[in-house]
Amino acid sequence: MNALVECRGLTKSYDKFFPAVLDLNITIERGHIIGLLGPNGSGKTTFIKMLNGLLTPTEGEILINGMVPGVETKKIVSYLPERTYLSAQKTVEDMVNFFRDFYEDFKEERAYAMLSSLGINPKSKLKTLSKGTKEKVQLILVMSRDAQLYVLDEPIAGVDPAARDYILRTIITNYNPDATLIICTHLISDIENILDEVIFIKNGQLAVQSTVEEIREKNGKSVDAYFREVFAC
Amino acid sequence: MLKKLFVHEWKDCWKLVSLMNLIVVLLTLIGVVPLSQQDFLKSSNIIVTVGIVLYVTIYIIALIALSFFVSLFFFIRFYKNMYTDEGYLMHTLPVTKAQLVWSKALVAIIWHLITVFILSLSVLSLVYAGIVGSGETIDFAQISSELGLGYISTWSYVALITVYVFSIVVGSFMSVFMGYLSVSIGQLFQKQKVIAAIGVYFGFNFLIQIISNIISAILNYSMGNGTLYGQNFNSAEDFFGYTFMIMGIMDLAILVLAGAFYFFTIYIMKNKLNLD
Repeated sequence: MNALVECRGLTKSYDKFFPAVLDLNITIERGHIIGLLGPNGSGKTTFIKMLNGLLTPTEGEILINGMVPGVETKKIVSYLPERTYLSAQKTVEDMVNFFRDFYEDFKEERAYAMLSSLGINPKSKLKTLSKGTKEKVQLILVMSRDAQLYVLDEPIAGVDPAARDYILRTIITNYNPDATLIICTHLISDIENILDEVIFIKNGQLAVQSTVEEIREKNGKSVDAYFREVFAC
Repeated sequence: MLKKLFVHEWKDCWKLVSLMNLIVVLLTLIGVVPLSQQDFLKSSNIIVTVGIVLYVTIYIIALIALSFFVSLFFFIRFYKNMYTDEGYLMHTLPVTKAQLVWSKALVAIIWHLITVFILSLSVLSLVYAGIVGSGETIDFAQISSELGLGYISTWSYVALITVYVFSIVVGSFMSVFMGYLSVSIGQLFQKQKVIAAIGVYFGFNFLIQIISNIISAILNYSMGNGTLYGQNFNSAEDFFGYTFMIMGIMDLAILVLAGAFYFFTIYIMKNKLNLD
């Protein structure tokens, strides 16, 4: 069995009437780059939060490497949330040390090499950095781990197109090829070329799970065009 | 992992809390030197009198500010670190919820105790300096005799101080975990999480006040004579024995409450985490 992530009947309800995720059944294999796509409020972030143990499912289960989210799964999952979680009072170096202390798979030299290539001074306080630079620091920290599963929630949303290219290059060149990478974004055309597979989520349910190749062959469309068709208003 | 969490938490907190404590220490030193001078308090010099009034005002404000600041600082830090954006990092670390809470609680409790120690030492230093300056001495035997307690052994004083310190430690645990649970309940609300947390905190305080009054009343009547210290003590041993028993029962109740606060904080973190 090569499955890295398995969801069975996964449901999360914040209230009785509108479940954010409903009866989701997904199997994600190792060594793939997967686009997790869907319109706003479709349940992508809720799914990602459950994957990272930030939310408890109302029903069903989610397994990572055969384990429910917990201390053991957090050792192998590298998560980039859609918001900045870095403490403004700390320096970039403090954050590198923090990651080094808590994640056994963190590669300090890789982090410093990336910081250097972006001209980010490790001694800088985070509160002095721009929003885009903070996002880059966060991405560098996340991608400096040799994780088995990378979960990136909107990694390119807040940066300019030139920085997007750098970020995508950073992701591709630094992720462990045996690992799986889940990228959640609205900017499909920007990431389409690096995806192996896509998962479309609609109203908290699985709408499509397919390889990019299949979508192109069967529908004669790009992922971006197919997404617009599936989620047409 | 608990050790690593503790070290990082300590590094993040020590500077600001130390600074606040240092201000009180400096204020104490400023006061101790003139107070210990012969008849300084009896001086009729207007500048000295104004200076004393000004000093006492600033000193009292600093004491109150330090007490509030230390509690508030650690509650705000817990909220920011656990339930705002920073929570996305803290809750995805490969550590247990208990390790997260304990690392923060231990740092907060240690600083609470350091602050209580500094505050107590500061007040005692100023009182002692004032007594020295006035040329008087403290006769504990006489005080004890006036209270009708007779001879008080050194061991009784040692025991009293030990029990007092133990109560402070137990009280710090409860205070910290009560704050953490209030913050954790507050984050369950969809909006106005901070206001909700403050409301819950005052609610808990009110509840504790009621419980403590009930325990006092029960002890009162079970010991007879109607009022708590309305009994006729025949000796210091009687007095201390009675005091220790009451403090022991109170400490036990506080420990049980601290345990309950801790348990529910962990429960909410495990099952009801609600990061925006």
